Amino acid sequence: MKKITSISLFIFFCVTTAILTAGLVFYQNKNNSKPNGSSVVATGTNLPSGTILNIAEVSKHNTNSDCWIVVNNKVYNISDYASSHPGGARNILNSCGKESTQAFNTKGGTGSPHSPSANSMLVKFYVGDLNQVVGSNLPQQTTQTNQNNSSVVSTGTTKSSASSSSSSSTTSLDLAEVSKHNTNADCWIIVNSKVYNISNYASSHPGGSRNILNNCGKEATQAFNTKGGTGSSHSPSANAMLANFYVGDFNQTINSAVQQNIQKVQSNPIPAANQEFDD
Amino acid sequence: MKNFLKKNLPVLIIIILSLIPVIRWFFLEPMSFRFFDFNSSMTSLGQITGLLGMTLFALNLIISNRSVTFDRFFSGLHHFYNAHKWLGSLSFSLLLFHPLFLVIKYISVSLYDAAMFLLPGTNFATTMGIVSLLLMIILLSITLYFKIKYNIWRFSHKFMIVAFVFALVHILFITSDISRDIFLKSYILFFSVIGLASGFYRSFLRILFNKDFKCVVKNVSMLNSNVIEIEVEPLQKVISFTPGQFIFIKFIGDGISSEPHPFSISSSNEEKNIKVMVKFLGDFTSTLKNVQVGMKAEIEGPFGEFFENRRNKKEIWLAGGVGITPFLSLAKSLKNVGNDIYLFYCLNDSTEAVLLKDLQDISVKESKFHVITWYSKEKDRISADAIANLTNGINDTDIYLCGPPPFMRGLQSQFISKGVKVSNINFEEFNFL
Repeated sequence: MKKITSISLFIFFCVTTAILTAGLVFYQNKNNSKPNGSSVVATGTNLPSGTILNIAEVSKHNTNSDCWIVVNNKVYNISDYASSHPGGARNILNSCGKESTQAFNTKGGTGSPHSPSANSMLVKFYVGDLNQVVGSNLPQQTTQTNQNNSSVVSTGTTKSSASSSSSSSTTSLDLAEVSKHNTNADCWIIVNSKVYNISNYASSHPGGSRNILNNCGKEATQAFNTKGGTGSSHSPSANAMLANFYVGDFNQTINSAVQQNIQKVQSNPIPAANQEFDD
Repeated sequence: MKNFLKKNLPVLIIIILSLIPVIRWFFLEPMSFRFFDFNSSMTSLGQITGLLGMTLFALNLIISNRSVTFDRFFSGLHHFYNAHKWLGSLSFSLLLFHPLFLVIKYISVSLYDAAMFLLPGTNFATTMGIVSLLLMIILLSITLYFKIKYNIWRFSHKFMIVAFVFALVHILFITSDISRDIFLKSYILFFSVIGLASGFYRSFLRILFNKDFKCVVKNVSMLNSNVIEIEVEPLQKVISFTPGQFIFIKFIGDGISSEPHPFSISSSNEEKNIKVMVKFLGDFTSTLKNVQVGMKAEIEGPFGEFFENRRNKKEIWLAGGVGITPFLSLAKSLKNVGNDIYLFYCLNDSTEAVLLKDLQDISVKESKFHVITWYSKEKDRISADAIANLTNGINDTDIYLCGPPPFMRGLQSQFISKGVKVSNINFEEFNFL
């Protein structure tokens, strides 16, 4: 037994010494070549020339192995990181292909913000600003149109990616349209005259996926406000989480291709903290 | 089978108790989330090593409090100490790998982040974990690699509780999908509280409950230049024991370090007073030269099950040096034995043969009790062949061994190669003697 302990101790000291030494060397290199915050860092991502980093583009990257998220109007490719997420891979993978500012700021609705080291880690996965035109052989064109957004967000729905190919199509978010999305895999609901796409969320619903899936394609304000008739209302963090899945207002007309390039982060003014991610 | 179960039940229980959280962990999240690439697999291994290591640490803390109950549970205190050592090493090794597995995901981000992860200061919970592990490394390196005085080691080893408390704070404040599970948290907390409470009881409350036997030294006699016999009289209650058992005894007086040490009882269980024989071997035993009549002593015990499985068959007792004590106690209690008992008293030369007269007196009274002295300076070392020749064969014989570990191990392997069943060979393995 003493042998096993000695071997473990030996391995422990070798690995920690190696990492600490290498880390120190790396730290000095890092100080010498500080990355420029405004440059496009396509983290292991080869994008075709002229790709617009709009929500439609982001929503294509919605799998465990290819996972992009939008935080504070910046697009991050966290494919390689998600598995290492201290808060569990599932929590982060639920956000793939989506606007995730709210989820990031509240640790998926638990309320506490991420640590500074988490913020600095995020910056390593920076792909570009939202709506920026990027590409491996194109000069960077950073569009700073974030301030004048209209009120449309599409949350990585099949609708948005489909409609992005037919650039001039319009869709009215009426009850007929919503009721088409009435399956477990494609689930829209209406709450307080707003349409939400909760397809990717339902399985994570703390109150059970069945309760939420019963409302797919339907007006669900009553069900949401009373937790399916049990009487108690949802928590503020649940409300904040719902905002992540906002598609548009009820009866609103979406002109997909144009409007999807415009992104408004749900009730989150673009924070000064942007600078934090750039260092 | 029954014997196997009895011997291994505590280990089985410990294995089951430590695997329960791991099983729970397996069902917390789908495996596709746990092991979907290299990083996630390493993180998962880090979680398993942490969980297992911490559960074993808590269980080991519980059993680190020796008691008569554990003595029975583990079929002898030596099994219990072996289990404690074994569990401790395993737990420590697992906890060493815990950060090594977890740091891998940071290496894939940057070596700088990996280095920062291994250094204290990034966040409270991680810092607590690092402090705990560092303390463990220091304390256990002392245990494993430095030969220090027993009483200093004993004092230093108590600080493992501090390392445990740091580790406990670490798991209570760390955020991960494990720590969010109320079952896992409660499970580890439950055993931690029991462990800490039993440590607290042993350190403080035990004195209040007056569990130890208060005694006074009645007689001290030098048996030869290296061996003394100390006789103590219990002041309040009679200490009831069976021959072959041992006690922890602590002498309170000048020139003797005050920690308790184990000694086999050499007196008969019909005498009120307790006698122990001490050979001056180490730092502590040498200080026992200073024991004087009238000095106070405290006894804890009795422990041990050396002669527990006697079957009224022919018996061979093998005593190496001061290992004669448990046999002395049993020999004094013999009454009209029906089966032959051969006691081999193995020594370097006749000057070491203390209390031989007492044994020979008993063999005169008990016709079936034979005492055979074996001096290795005159003959060779004793062997199983020689024993078989002198005792008319060793088939269906119960063999009892007490002495220095090489003496016991050497004879054990010889007996086994001659076809003696392992279950017929009994040890007094408590080698602090």
